[in-house]
Amino acid sequence: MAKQVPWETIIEVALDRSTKEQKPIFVDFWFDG
Amino acid sequence: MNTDSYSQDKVVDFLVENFIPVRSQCFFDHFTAMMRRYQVKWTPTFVVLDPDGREHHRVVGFLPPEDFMAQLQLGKAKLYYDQDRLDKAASELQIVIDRFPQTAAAEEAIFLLGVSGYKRTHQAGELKKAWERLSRDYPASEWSKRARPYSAL
Repeated sequence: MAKQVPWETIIEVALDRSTKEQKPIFVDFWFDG
Repeated sequence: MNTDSYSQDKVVDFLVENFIPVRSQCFFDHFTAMMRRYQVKWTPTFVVLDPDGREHHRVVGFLPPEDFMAQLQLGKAKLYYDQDRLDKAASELQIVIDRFPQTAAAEEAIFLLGVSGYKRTHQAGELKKAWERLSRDYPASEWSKRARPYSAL
């Protein structure tokens, strides 16, 4: 079973985690087309 | 979305270890708040942000897994560089150079490592070393052209 990226979808949640975990944020802007 | 890259365990591990990964779906008939906030005009676009949401690196377009990870690592280094945390930036740039030498990110990393070294030590030799390495290992690189004036130092 391939690993899956545990995506956040709400930027505010990611910003909060980034502060607490001292990690940068990576955002993938994608289009389902 | 870099579907091919995300299917590889090494990419997933790299993302989880180094970043808080966020996926933001785009629509071109109505721009989302995230598209407006980060001025996204095409996909895939990926950006590296600090905890305050400030952007430090951006790539538009698809990349193979090695180039993708190299750009992410470069983005992490540029975040520290922009914050003037030059020791940390240098160690992250060195990872780009050592781990992803066959990528365009390595060329930019050598340039920025030279600049970081100069800022830390005020020794012009740091800039000249960057030029020497770029001209030797990446002579066709745009970064080699950008560093050319340092050859006279």
